[in-house]
Amino acid sequence: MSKFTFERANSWVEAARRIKENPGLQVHAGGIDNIDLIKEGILPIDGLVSLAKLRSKKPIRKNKKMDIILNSMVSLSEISNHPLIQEKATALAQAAGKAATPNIRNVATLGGNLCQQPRCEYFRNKLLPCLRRGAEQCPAIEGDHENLAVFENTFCAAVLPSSLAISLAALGAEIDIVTGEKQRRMIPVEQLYRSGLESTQTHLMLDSGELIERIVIPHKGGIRSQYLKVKPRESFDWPIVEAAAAVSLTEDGRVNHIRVVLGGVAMLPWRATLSEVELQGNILNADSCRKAAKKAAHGATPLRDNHYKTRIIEGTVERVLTALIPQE
Amino acid sequence: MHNRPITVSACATDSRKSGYKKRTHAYWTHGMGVLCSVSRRACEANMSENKKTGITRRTFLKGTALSGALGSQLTKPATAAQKKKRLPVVKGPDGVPLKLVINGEKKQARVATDETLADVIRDHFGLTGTKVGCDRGACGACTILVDGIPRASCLTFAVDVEGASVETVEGIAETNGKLSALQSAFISHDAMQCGYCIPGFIVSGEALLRKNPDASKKEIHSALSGNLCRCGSQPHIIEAILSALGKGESHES
Amino acid sequence: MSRKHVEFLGPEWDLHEVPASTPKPDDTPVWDGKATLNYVGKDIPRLDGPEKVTGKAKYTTDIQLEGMLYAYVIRSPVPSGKIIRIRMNEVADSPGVKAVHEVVTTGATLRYEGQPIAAIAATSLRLAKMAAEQVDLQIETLPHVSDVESAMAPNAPLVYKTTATAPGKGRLPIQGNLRGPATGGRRFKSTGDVTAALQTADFVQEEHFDTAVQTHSCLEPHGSVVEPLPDGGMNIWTSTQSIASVVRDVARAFEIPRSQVRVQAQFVGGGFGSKFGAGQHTIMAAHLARKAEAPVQLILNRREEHLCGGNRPSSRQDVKMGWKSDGTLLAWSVISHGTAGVGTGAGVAAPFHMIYTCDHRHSLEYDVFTNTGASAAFRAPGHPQGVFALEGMVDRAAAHLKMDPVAIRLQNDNHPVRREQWNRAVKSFDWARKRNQLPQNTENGIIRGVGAASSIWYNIMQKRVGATVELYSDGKVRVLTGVQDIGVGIRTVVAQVTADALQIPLDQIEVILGDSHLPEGPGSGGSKTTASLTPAIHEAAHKVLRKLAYIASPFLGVHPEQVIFENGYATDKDKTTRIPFLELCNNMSFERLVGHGERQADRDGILQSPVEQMAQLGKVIAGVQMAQVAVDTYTGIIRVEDVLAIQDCGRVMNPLQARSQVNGGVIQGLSYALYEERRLDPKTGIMLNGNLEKYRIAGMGDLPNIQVQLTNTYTGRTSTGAMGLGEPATVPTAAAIRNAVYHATGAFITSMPMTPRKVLAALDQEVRP
Repeated sequence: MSKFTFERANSWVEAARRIKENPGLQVHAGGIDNIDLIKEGILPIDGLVSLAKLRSKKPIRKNKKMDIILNSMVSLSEISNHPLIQEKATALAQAAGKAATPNIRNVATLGGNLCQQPRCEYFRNKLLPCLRRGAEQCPAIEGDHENLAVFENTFCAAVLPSSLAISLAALGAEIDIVTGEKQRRMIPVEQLYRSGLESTQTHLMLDSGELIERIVIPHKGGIRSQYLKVKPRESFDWPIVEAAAAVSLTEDGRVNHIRVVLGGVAMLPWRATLSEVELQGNILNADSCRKAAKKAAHGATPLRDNHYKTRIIEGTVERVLTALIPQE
Repeated sequence: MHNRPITVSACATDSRKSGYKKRTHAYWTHGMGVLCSVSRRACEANMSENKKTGITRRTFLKGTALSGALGSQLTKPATAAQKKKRLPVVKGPDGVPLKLVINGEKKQARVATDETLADVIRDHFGLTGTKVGCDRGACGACTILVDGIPRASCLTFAVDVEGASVETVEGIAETNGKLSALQSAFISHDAMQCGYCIPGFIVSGEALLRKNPDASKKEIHSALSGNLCRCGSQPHIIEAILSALGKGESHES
Repeated sequence: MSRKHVEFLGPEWDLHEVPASTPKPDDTPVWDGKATLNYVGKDIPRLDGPEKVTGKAKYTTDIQLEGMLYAYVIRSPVPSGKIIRIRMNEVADSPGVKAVHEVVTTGATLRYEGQPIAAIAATSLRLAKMAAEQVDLQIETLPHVSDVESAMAPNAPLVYKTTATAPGKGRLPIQGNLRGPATGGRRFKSTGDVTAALQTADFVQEEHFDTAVQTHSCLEPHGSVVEPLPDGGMNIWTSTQSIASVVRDVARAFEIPRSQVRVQAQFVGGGFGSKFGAGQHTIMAAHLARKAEAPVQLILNRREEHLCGGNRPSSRQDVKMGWKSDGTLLAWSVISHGTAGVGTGAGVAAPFHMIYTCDHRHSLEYDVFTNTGASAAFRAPGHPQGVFALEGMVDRAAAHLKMDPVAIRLQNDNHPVRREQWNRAVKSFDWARKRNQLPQNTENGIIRGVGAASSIWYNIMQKRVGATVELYSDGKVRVLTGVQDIGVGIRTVVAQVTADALQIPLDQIEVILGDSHLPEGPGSGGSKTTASLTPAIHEAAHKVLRKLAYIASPFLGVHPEQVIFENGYATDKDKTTRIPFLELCNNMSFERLVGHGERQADRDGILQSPVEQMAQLGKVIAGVQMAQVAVDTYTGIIRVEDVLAIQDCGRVMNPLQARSQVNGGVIQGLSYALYEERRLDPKTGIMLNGNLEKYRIAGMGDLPNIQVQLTNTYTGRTSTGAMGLGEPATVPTAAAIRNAVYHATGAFITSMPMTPRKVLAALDQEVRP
């Protein structure tokens, strides 16, 4: 264990600046992933900058445009139990409620969930080589990858650990980033990540010192969403495949807007674009859902031992879409 | 926690400059067919950019290996901009004064920043009822209440909960030593075998009872889904909680 | 003059009178099927419950002594290597470090990841870890083998270069990484002419099965606290299933008399077979404690626990079975290969030999050495694996013959208890209806089915273990026995037996255990604790009563031999006068009466139950389980919805605790069937899931509804008639679950754990009509 200092930031800008100016400092929210990485000896740091004081009084609220604004320090428990989220961003409430254990959900924050490091067993074990920690190649590709990526897995087979990002991507959420300077920037949640094909060093598209302060789920009329997690063990577990879908229908029941996003299959929220295209403009029914689901795994490049995931992708997408069929 | 090893952040900047936006645009508008070619380009650009800035995987590796050598700038004076505002109070790594209220009693200790709440409760305050089973928040044996909310004390740095009110299994029984309804129910239903996980179950269960005195069986399952019991006492544990809730004796079977 | 003495023995549904010799007053009475007991056989909450629910129970991890040091162990980071250089000198001066101990020296061979190299004791664990990083250690990595196939390949790297260093040498041949074959065991040997018999069979079926390595994953890791004593002796607190075995190992390692080693274990956080003997951790802690002249605590962390805490070996089983068309088993052969890492013990054939009557049996069992941590006994060693294969073959044959799986079992199973258990199971589980109807309804990709499997275990006991019962003049009783309670509830059972033997209230009794200064108790393994200890307790208590008879005799005016104790009173056979027990105690002219009891051989003198006796009551422990599953054909995920477990354990001493134990057996079996697998990186041999996050054990969400039925059998083999329970309860669960999946989907899964990937692959192969 390395020795490190501890401080509590008084403002978002201060936190961002401290980290920008001191490359050895690491931002600290709920602390779940930090402590884990520190205990594994793979997070070399000089100090932690806690954001504990920066939690807003009302971390989940609506603005005038009816967008939902989430403070990034909100806990997963609060998200999953919040009536507004349950009603207007169902997929997010479901994803938050299925993540990790109750103890962890009580502490883990939305920002931390979005930014946590891969759970890949090679990445997390300093006795093993890992491309993301400096090895020449990813050992999982030839090694044990049964539960790793089936998309964009040529260089690194890890998958994005954030279930909330999957739901947020389906909901078209945006991330409000503090830069430590005067300007802030907003990006769609999916632009926070890049796959192992693009970068094998960090999957997060944040500059040094950039912090996620808020997440905004823009209001779109008539959007309903669902999230489904397929996990080997019913008690807490990581997904084999997870899927979130958001849909709005026209008055005559045709698909007006649709997003289908997969998790557990790539290092970023994976849009099942062909499934979306299949449904766009069509009636949402058991038949169309099944057809769309058959296209969800298109383009997958499974590794030796994870072909089975493509089949689970199809089943999961079918179910998550079916759950959105309007009940007569 | 916006987590990211600082050493790699320069790469993040570079790659974004070097075509990331192009790539995502292509991805999100055209789907996967376009994706591969674009992202490969982005990847190459990323690598060449790395060479320019001199940060390669190798230097990252070195940085990782020599963790202690990284940025010792913490003690350097803060910038002028910071001086204007309140300066952050930097504590540690050792001898950080810590005040907590544990089971209603005020406690103090000097701790290191990397000491977990579980370490402090057990080693500094001698309250060994809280168990460390997996040390990674996966077994629930170390569950305690911090300001009434259950959490894993092995995944909590003590300095992070400075000033908090902490309740451990030792604080669950009433002050006169009388067992709580839940504790009594655990005994009468034999909701334990080796007992090592039981403090965690008691604390999680007690938190559930306080929050939701009308909890359903499903809610009990959910509230205890982070507590592992290797002896397999869960059926009796559920019976015990149901009985403490006044919901009958038997586990459906 | 006296009527011929009889005992009522047999299973509870078939008690019969058995003539027995008339007991003398000093003989410990035999509790037969009609004995009236106040506490034994009743739901008595465990006596240490209050300590466990309040956090007051002190496990080894909770022992904190004045000036105690904390030890950290430097372990092999590679599965195979050689120590090129190790220098600890500088480390001894690191902050807080009080002692260092080198386990191996330069040139030593490292055979598995996690093998101890050196240990450091410091004033805190942090400081010990920091010092460990300073150790000058160079290791040459050598080629390794981490799975059975590569270990058996020609020219595979050898785990043991010479057989001289290999474990279990001498008893069986060792060639390369292969040790064996064993053709028999303690209770059975291969017999008959399998080749000829298979030729006469109406049909022969063949399958290959494999099972993964399972780790015990006790929630309390292995650990010890060692306090050195000035006379060279040691006080040890340790998490153990047998304090006596720790005394033995430590005394041997340090060449000190056993009397100088005191071992205590008041509470033990699970064992399941992994906590026998002192273990390297205790020996290292003892070395450090002696050097530092201070108490040292050494507790394994979770990863070390997975790597070095023992495990259930893997298995690969090739089975061939021949049947007659009426469902009679004619002959079988099984060849098994399994890895117990650098240790031995991967055999699986016992249940094949011991469950079904069959004249032609052939088993060859091999241990395959690999560069992984040694296995340890794990709840019914070899049995869940063997039964997974055996009971699968039986269901295969039933399917071939279109026979009911229970019917084909009854055709071949002679055990009187198991036969009745099957009859009860069929009724309780609504078996026939579920077999006929369940798989017909597929809903949203989910198919249901039911399956069954048999359990077996043996009536094992440990001789000469004992207990002392002390009766005080105030009527209180102390029972002293050096057994340890690892969670099975022996503390409570000891009190129940004592209370019934003395016929006094339970709350008069205090049980003191978990200390080697007490009379030696049995090890808590092999499902033998209760069967070994309770007759000794009964005997000790009875001796106290007979001594009390001398006090009662003058009051009753009869000879002490004629004093009878009944319902808390002393009386004589005419029952004209009676004196309360407490009054007798108050009349003791000394502080206490002491009786000591020791476990003798069973009354029929038999210690082991060989295969010939497997159909005899009380020799072999019987059980059956049925499971209902829901298989998700979209995802390959199996959920177990219901399990019925009917289990024999002789006399049920405490049904409440017994149900706990059966629940535990079922849940562990389910966890083994669906989730558990020690996964190693195929290239480096390093463990991938050395935690409780990715090493999945069943939790709250995975529980089926479990219905437990205990079938009392009164064997008369000992005065209490207790038999074992812990192990048989876990033996059939995985097989029953797999058979249920077979019933639901027609997909026959031959590999455990039954992960979604394997289930989907099996579904692809099986197109159901």
